[in-house]
Amino acid sequence: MTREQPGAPETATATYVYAVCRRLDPAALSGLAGLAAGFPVRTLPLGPLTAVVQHVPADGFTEDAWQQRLADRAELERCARAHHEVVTAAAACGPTVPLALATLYRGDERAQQALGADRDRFAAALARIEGHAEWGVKVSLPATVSEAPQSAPPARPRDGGGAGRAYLERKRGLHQAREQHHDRALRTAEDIDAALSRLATATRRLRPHTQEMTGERHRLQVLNAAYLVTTVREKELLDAVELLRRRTGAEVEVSGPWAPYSFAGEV
Amino acid sequence: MTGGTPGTPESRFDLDREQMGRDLVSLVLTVVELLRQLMERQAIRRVEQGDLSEEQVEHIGETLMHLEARMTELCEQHDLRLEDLNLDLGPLGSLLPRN
Amino acid sequence: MSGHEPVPWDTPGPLAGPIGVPLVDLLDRVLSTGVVVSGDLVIAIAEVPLVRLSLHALLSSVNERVPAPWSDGGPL
Repeated sequence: MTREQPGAPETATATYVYAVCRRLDPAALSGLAGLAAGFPVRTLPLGPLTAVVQHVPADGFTEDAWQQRLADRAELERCARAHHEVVTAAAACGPTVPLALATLYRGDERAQQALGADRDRFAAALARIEGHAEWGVKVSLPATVSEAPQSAPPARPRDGGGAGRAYLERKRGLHQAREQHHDRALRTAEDIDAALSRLATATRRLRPHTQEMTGERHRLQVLNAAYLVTTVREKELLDAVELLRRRTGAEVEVSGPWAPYSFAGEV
Repeated sequence: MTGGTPGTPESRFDLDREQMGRDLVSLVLTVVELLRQLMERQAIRRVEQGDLSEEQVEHIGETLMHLEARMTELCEQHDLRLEDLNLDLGPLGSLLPRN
Repeated sequence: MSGHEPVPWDTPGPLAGPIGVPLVDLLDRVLSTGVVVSGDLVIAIAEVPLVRLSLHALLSSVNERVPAPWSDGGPL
């Protein structure tokens, strides 16, 4: 952490970086609270590029502070939304490469130095995403109906038994059904992804949300993908989604347009 | 299982009672259930392979059937449902397959 | 906005509460994607061991470089 000159009235601050873009009118950032109310969200020149930054109190943004923050659902939400608000404001003005949460430097100069070293990488990413937006697609299918063990009456033993085999046969049937259902679900996910990828400049798979995350006991998410789509093809994408919904019967959720979080990191 | 490191404040996040791995009984039963499911799958594979006598198939089947019934009883005694036993392994998903 | 009829939200408004971008989708993006740049004070957040945090619902998707080998949640 940087300590200011002894005797300085301000608390030590760090520089938090939200995004990198080309030229940006600072007015686009006015009124944003960002992650630390009281410090302006502003631009920081990086040669031909611009970083969107904010001073934050260094104490509140150490590794430990982040650990605590991430364990507190409300605080995590507040930070994620504040970060996203700034990114979105910048993205509304032109191609913008969002940074992940918690990119911090000791000060503005350090930020310029470190980010400047990656200037070519940022420029390439900006060129790649220009004219595009990210669209998120999540596909869910019904999970198999579980057979509650106690609801199935045990097979009545015939002469010489048979209950044991009957039990095994029943279980085998259940496993097979589950596997087949799973295979079908995966195939549906692949089909949808293939169809939408054709309309996208780039695609990226994110981790499907588990049932703990969705809170849905009876549905399983089989696809969580991001598509980088040009503005002109957006309608095509949405139409394709509607078609796929009807054809597969799957639940398909679309979100967007996003600033291209998922496509900023590739070379 | 989640646990706090010394000095870490309790998470203010409302802990969901059905989250397995925090209650010792659930944890033990979950592990037993894992074993039971593994044995069952293995038995089914053996039966499919056809290298067991009818007597063996019957015996294994009955044993597993009783084992499932016993597990269900145990769960009920602890106010749990067999199908709810599970362990969340974070990025690895859950320990037992979800139906 | 997610749902059957996506509504573009490219005009940033005041910090929304529960309305607005669904949190799970937002966390998918701000936690593990974006440009990963090593800052000075915090190593890329994706490396924070979020598994041990009790926010069970939302943080198991942190390290996208290690996808779960099974999607239905069972090692069997």
